[in-house]
Amino acid sequence: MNGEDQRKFREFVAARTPALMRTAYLLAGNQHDAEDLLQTALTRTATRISFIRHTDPEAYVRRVMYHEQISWWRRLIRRRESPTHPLPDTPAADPSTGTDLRVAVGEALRQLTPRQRAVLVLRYFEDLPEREVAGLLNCSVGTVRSQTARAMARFRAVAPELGATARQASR
Amino acid sequence: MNEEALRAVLRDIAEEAVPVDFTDKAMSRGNRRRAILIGTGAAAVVALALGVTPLALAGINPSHGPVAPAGPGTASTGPGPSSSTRPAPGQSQYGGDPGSSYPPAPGQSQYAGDPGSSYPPAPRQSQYGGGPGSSYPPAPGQSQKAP
Repeated sequence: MNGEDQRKFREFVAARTPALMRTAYLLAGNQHDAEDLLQTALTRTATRISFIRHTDPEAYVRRVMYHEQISWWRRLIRRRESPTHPLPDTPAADPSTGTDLRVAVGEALRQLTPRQRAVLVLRYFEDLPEREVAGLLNCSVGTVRSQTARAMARFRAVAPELGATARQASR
Repeated sequence: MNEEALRAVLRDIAEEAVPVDFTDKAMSRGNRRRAILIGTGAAAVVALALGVTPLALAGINPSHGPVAPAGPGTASTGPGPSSSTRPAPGQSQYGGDPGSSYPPAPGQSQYAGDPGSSYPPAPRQSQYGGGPGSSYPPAPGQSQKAP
């Protein structure tokens, strides 16, 4: 990496890290895994920065993040103990409706598979059409639809208050 | 609640993320990763060349077969002419007289003291030149007894 590439990479990371971190947080589900995911994606981008200097590096970083998220190898590395029973110290519900809903959606997101979470984030956070989501994840449009429907079904099971949203979204 | 509400909730959740500066870590790890990739690639190329070159040489010259280390006393395994089955040019296969040829030239005897020789001698040549195994009858006009 020459000096010009280094300067461009530094500028890109400084400018786009907050947005990339938000996406990584939604994909990973917690701060620690989000940092790990984003750092992996940025490392791969830095390795190939001289090859992708003429394209959009952010698109490359996002693509790496989504593929890393659904990578079976990464899942194997990240496998750790998971509770089989509900934890006794569940957070107390906030009286405000918005916070309740956010906690419920966060809990539902954590129970999705990585691919379902990636599809939801791409569809409803990045606002990408189904065709672009399919191209980004290297799958068919039908797979994107089925994954969305399953994610919404999981949402309904975990958070019944999202049922209306899920029914509308899966149409 | 509709899709817009779901998007709003996702945006709220995403705002919980704390940005961390990964610039230096990403660059140092990227450089290390690139060095590892280049080293691995170079090693793979060298290993491939070492493995493919003997096979390529054997394919160019298949009569020699696979290349074997040539030690002292190692004979050629190729189907070349054997010295034990065919005489070299200028070497006779009849007896111990090197340089004699078949049939013998005129004026030359192949029975000159060669035990076990039985080929008929040329005319005006004595076959009784002292060879103990000579048995061919003498030509007319020739004496069978040595003077």
